Amino acid sequence: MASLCAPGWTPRWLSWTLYSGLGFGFGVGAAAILHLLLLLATGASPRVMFAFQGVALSLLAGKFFISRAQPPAPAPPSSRWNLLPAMMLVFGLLFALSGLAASALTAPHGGPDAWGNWNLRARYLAGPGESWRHALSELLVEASPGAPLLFPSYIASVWRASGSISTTLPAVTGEIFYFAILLTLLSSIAVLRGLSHGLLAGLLWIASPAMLAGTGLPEVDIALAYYMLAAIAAATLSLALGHRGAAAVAGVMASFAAFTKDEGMVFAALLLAVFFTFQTREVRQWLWLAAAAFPGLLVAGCFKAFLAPAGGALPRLADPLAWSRAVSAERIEALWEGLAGGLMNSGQRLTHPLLLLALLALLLRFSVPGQLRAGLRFGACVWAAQAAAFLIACLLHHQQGLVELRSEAGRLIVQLWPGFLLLMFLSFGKIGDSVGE
Amino acid sequence: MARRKTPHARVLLGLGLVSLLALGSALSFYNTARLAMAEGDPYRMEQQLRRFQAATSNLPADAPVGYLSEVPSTEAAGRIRFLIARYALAPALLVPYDKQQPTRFVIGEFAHSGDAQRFAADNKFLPVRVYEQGLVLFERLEH
Repeated sequence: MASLCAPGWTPRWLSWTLYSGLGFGFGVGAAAILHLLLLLATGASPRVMFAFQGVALSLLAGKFFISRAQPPAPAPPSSRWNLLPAMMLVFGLLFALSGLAASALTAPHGGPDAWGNWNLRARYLAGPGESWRHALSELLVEASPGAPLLFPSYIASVWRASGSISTTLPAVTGEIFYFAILLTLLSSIAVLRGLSHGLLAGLLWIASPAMLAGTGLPEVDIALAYYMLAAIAAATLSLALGHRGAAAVAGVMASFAAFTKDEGMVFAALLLAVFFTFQTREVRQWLWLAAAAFPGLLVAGCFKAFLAPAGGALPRLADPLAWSRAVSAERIEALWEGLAGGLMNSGQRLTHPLLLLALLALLLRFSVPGQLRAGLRFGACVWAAQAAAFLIACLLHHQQGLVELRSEAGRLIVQLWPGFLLLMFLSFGKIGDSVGE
Repeated sequence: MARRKTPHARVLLGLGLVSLLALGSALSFYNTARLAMAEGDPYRMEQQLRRFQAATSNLPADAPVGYLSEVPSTEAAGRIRFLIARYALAPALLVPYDKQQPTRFVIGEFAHSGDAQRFAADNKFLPVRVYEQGLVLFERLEH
């Protein structure tokens, strides 16, 4: 699936970073959905899950040998000033992953939101007999039984296949999502703007690990951030290069975002709508995106309609009482404080990622090639609409106190940060700008 | 024919500085995480799981199990205790004990054994298992 997006770029490792970045997310999403369907149909015995994991690994190995036989595509423009950022990226990645591993060892079950909701539901899904239905029980007070199940279902599928419950698996999966974000960000920017920009974007990503681990948020927010980034990056690739395959990848990733969290459902709807407005002349590309999104959206929609208990953010939109309570100065102020505080706490003085981004903007300025303009406008529209939808949904959740409202703002920053980095680096000017073409 | 412009020295210096600062940020995160490791998990979840371990095999996985402790679940500390117990005892579905709709099994956390006896007598429950550290499993007498 991921190979639809990048038909063999050179250097070959660039293709592999994109394959791996997108392939991991596709594998997790497909395994999670299949596990849930098997639970509904047969109870998903460990033998069935083990067989499925075996088939998936065989397909991966097959893909490896097929892609080795393919001729490489033209190289993306690159700069010879890449050695320093590449070295810093490797060292920085070691520090970031070691820090995340230390966090996972300190609290292998995660924070209260992780063990009180997502990891708890994974334990139910991996339980014997019909106990998996507890993950959807209305009796699950202070958890979200109506929230989509991609992350818990994937964790449960691995637990079932391995036959034991490893407490560190959710944290390790979160770390792999963190790494997959790096691969997707680096390779998609390298394909569209050159390797230098890709490496610098990767550096900015590893310069902001506090955004993930420091906030104490569950791994599911990293997973959602990944799916939103992958969908926007693939759709931008599709608009810039006219790739139908990339449009299909964007559709699949958006549908997985929809099955990860409620915010992902809003994101998938926004992505489909905005892509359609950008593709009014070439509707076929939008049809590819919509067709690829359809199976995942169907599962997410059926889950909401038939399995999940009623509630969540969407019904609140029709509640006039919610609207009247939402527009209170106190709540808006709390949300603003949460946003500002979250941004301030996401780095330290001189090494704050926002400061580094501002420094890069001063050095490189902004310059967008004509080929990329539509893709960049599309990405910016989806990103801004998603941020606005999230903030409105937070305000409408009038049962939440001001403290919860502030912490929700931190969640927004984590979910949208990788997409923000993508859009910023696509709009920066080039380092060794070519002239006289 | 494309000719590559050599980047200005100022730009290259700036990019080098950004790269170093980014590395510094990752290093600072690593140090913070290492320091946090010394403090350990604030919820001591591993110890909690070990504490509840013995009870997991005695609970039904297909029906809700009531939970009560001396700290009411309306208080923040009581709520956290309930959430920890629910996570530790999964796949059993733990619900706060409701006198009006009692479940067949109830698990309680008591500092004094007398309190457990009093609860059982007042609410027609039989203590069927007593685990370590004040953990007691009750079964309803009439069902």
